[in-house]
This record gives sequence, C-alpha cells and structure tokens, in this order.
Amino acid sequence: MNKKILGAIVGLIIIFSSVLVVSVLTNNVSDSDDKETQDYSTDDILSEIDESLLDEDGEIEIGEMV
Amino acid sequence: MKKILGIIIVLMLLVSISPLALAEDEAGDTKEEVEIDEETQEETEIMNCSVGAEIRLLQLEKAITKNIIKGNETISVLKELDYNTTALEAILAELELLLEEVQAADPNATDAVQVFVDLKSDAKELTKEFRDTLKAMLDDEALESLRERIRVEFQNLNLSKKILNRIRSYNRNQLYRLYDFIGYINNSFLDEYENGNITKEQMKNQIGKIINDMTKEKRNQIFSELKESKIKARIHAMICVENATHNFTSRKELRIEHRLQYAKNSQSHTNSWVRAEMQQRMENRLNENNSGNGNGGSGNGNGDNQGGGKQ
Repeated sequence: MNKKILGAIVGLIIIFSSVLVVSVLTNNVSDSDDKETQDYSTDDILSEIDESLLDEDGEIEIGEMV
Repeated sequence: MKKILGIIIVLMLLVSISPLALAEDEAGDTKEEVEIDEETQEETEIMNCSVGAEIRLLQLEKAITKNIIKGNETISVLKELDYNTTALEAILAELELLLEEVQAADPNATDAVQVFVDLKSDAKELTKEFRDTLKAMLDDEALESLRERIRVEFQNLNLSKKILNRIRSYNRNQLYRLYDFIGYINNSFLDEYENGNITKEQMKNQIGKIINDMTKEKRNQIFSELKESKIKARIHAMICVENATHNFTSRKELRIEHRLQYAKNSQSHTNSWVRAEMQQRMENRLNENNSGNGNGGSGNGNGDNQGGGKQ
C-alpha cells in the first residue's frame, strides 16, 4: 500500500518535471527562431530614432486647476 | 500509511501557507512605498544627462507657472463675485513656494530624478487640492462658465523658448550619437537643427536617405544599438524611480517642514490671512502624516479650509 502511494508521488513528480522541461525547450526554440528572422527596414529604424528624440511641444501634465 | 498521509498533509499546508506569509512580509515592506505613475517614469528616462534633467525641471516649472496664472485668474473672477477666496489663495501661495523650489533645483545633482519626482508629486497634489476646494465652492454650471472665462492663451514665451532650445540641444546630442553609430557625422546639419533652421522632420528625412543606402547587416546593427541604448536608459530610469519611492513619505514631511519654516521666516505672502491659512494647512498636513494617515497627499487641511463660499 505504502509503495503504491510512493509510486504515485514519484509518477506525479516525473510528469511535472517532463512538462516543465518541454515548455522550457519550446520557449528556447521559439526565441532562437525569432533571432534568425530579425530584419529591420529603414522605417523601423526611423521609428526608433523618433522615439529617442524629444517632442518639441512636449509638456508635463500636473492636472487642471479648474 | 497514516504517517505518510500525515506528512503529505503537513507539507501541503506548509506550501499553501508560505505564499501568504511571504505576501504579508512584502505588504509590510511596501507600506511606506509609493507607486510612481508610468508617465512620470517615462519622463525620467531622459534624466540620465544634465540636459535631459534640465528639460524636465523647466517643463515642470512651466506647468506650475501656467497653473499659478490660471489660479490667479480664477481667484480674481471669484473675488468679483464676492466669494471668500482665502483657502484658494493659501493653496496658490504654497504653489508659488513650490515654484521657487523647482527653479532652485540643480539638474546636475545626483538626486535630480528624486527631486523631480518629489516636486512633481507636490505640484499635482496642490493642483488637485485647488480644484477640489473650488469644486466645493461652485456648482457644475458655475465651474463651466469659469473655465470659459479663463480659457486664455498661455504663452509664457521666455520659458517656452528656453525649453525649446534645451530640447533641440538634447535632440542634437541624440542625433550625434546616432551619426556615430552610422559612422557619418554631419556637424553642419546638426548645428542647423540646433539653431532652428532645420526641422526635426528634415533631419529624419536626411538620416532616412543614408539608412536606405546601407546594407541589411548595417541596418540591423544600428537598430540593435538604438534598442540597446533605449533599454539602458529605461533601466537607469527604473532604478532611479525605484530609489525615489523609498522614504517618500518621510521626505515629503521634511519638504513640508522646510516650506513651512521658509514661509514663516520670509513672510512670503503680503496678505496675513492667506499666510496664516497656508501655514495652518501645512501644519495640518504634517499632523496628518505624523498621526499615521500616511496618505499625506490630498492634505485638505481642516473643514474650514475647504469651504470658502460667498461672503
């Protein structure tokens, strides 16, 4: 009886760890896929440049008085 | 069998209780912390250089100045209608003291981000306090007509011009770094932009032409470098903002104490009633903080302050 319970616990641990390993591996695969397909256009770069520059009319909002 | 079941149950209980215990600990740790809004966090991203810090402080100065002008306009309209404006004047007088603190802030200081976060938070609170006090005095219709009356052009030209110059200077530095990535520095073009002879769009068009002629690899490299510097700036800002959240409440108390002392010493406002009211409000906020309310934010003072109303 004891052996059965221990066996069930060990079985559960094996199932959980397998699921964990599979999910980690799939994430890594999709990450490396992303790296291979990255190509940036002029527009992508210009949009990055735009984000790094400040808006000349930019203001800080502290709320309205009325 | 029973022993094993007992051990499993105890383990399960321990596992389920531990997150609760950890959560309580975290709640205890963050009790004093304040969450800085996302907008402010983004604003601090440019403050890792003195030009960026100067821009944010100038923009804060401009925002407070605009609200002071609007506040004065509101008060003069209400006075015409025979309202008691002492409470509003007291808040405005504190906003004027805050403006002096912003003007005195050093953009080169290592704690410039913390100072900006603190003073912006005070500015927002005082603005809200003014708005809430006004709301308690007037109905919606009267408020709307007041908004119409004070909807004037607010062109504080000197301040706007100074901010624009500093923004162009900041953008010039950013563009210089970009040219450095590209390996092609056109100083005359950068100078033209900084002097206002070329617009930002024209600059971007010129850079776009250079990028178009590049190889795919070079474009990818530039993109990565731009992303990297953006991430670095964001991380730096996050650390500074995170530091600014520590001891936020005690710093706030200290600021109010200093402001109160300054107001007492300098006799800052000509009207003694307004001065007394302002000092009373600050003392009330300090007492509220000390008594553990901690919110310290809205600090509406006592009930008498809120009212105002017609004389």
